[in-house]
Amino acid sequence: MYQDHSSPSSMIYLLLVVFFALFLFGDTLPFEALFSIPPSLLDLNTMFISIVLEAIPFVLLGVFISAIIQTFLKEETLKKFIPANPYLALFPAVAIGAVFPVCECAIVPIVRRLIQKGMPLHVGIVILVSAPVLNPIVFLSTFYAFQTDLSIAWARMGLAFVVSLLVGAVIYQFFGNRWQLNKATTEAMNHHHNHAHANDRGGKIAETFQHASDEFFDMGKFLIIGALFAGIVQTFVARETLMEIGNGALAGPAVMMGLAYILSLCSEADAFVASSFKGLFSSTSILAFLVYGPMTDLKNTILMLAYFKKRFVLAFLVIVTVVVYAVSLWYDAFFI
Amino acid sequence: MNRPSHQFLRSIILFGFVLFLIKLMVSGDIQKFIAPRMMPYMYFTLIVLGVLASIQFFKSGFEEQGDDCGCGHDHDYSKSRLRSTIIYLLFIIPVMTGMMFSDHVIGSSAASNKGFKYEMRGGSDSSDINAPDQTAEADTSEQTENPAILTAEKRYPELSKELQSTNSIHMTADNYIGAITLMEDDMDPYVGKKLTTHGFVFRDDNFPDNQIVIGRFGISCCVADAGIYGILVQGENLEQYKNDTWVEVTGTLEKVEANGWELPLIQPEAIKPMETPPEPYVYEDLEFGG
Repeated sequence: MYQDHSSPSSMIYLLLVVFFALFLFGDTLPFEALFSIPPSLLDLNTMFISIVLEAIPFVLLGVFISAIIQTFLKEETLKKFIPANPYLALFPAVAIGAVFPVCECAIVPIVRRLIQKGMPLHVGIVILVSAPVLNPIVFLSTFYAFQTDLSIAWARMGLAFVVSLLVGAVIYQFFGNRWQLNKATTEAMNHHHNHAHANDRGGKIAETFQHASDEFFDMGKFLIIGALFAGIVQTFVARETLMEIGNGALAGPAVMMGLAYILSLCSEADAFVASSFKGLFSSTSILAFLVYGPMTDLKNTILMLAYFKKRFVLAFLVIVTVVVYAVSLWYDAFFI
Repeated sequence: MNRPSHQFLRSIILFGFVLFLIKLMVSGDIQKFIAPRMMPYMYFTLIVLGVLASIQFFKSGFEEQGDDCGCGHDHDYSKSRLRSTIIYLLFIIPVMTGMMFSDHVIGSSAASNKGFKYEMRGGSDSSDINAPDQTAEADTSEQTENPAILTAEKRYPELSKELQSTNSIHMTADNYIGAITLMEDDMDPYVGKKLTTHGFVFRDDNFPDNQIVIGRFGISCCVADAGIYGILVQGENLEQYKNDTWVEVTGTLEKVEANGWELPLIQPEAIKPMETPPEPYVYEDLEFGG
């Protein structure tokens, strides 16, 4: 396109003009009729953009909180609060996860930063899986969505607690304290260390924003790809297709976990979607949906690839899936 | 592409996002993507992206060597032209398609994808639905015993009084979810009342010719979590109303039973086509956050 130009800036100006033109006339021009776009593609576009718009503020919050951690949290302080025994360390991690009212888009850059600051991998992962589900806002939305069965809200919190601890323990068994952040993240981190002390305060603020912008673009591309996949699934895969696979005692939780994974809903909103499955799936299957969805989903897996090694993300996915499935079967056998 | 060009392009993309958000907020189309309770987060995004765009823009003016870091590190400003073009297109395309199609409203095809509650419940085999049905029954018996449990009536006390005392119920965007929740919870007090409601026409493959649903999407955070709410309408000559047409229906409420569920049903007296309203969705009312 702009190969011939010595500088691509003319293309960039053109882009600016296009943005302005669409800003002024975008909804008055009949693009739909002009290109005869099928309604399902427009549905896809709306779903995709609504997921992106909903996630951006939380990604930005995550980026800024992680910048604050970078500036103000000392490695030594962090070490003091984490017990030396790797298994004892799981408990304060769950407590942190329960206190942080952070949803799943924001938690990824925060945990990445904590791990860079020297937090053991498995402790960071416990925060990653527990913060989006063990929090007061999620409890309230579950409470409202399942008013006729309060045990759902409590069981969601209880199971999430158990699953978080187990996931942390299994991650420690498999990975110990080996480094699992990817190459780009590690390099960026060394770079941070080199100049963190070299700047005055004004420079530091400007730099925080500069890094926030860089991180918005680094993470944004993963977010957009994730939202696009989730939008495609929402638009083109009927939920009944999944239900045809089965809703028995063994298949039910698996199907609902699959649904939670591909829908990639925000953990504040998923309880309302889950409540529409009341009567169609057992409460164990609904709990599997409610516990699994915030811990990992399609959008989040792609977000994690921004910072973690591919193999680790895959292992994480397998471990969380197996643990949630096993714990929901255990719950079904002993509590239902 | 050199570093200042990257920064310049990034500032323009961020600026594009800002324009997109302003356009959505000014036209009110933002409610076709995001529930009103999420608006504070949208203002936050608008301000932050505006600040980031300005900083990038002014930085891109300084063409000197890596002045902000001084560490010779190039972040991941990709050197490959193809790669960076693809990555930036990922950001540019949603801004452009967003501004072009911001007034699109999801309708009956999304509704059948997401599955209408009645039809999902009715569609399964009786053997499949047995187990969860039992738990549902257990719940209702518990409900009457345990005062701590929020029934639909406790959740919407004023609305329930209001609807039960009147003889002609008028459903609006504000009481839509509440009224449907109340009627699905306990239909008896509402049988025989007159009801007026608005919504889009929606039917599924297995619907008989004399049945349609008049429904609206309820949203808690964003359109991706939309769920369909609606009331069955049963009568003659309903075939003329195509899927996705917005109509106003006036009729008498009846109770039908399907697979052990009591559902409201309208015997229509008048059905009037109407324009799609500027706010086609209804929003979950949460008494916390946002």
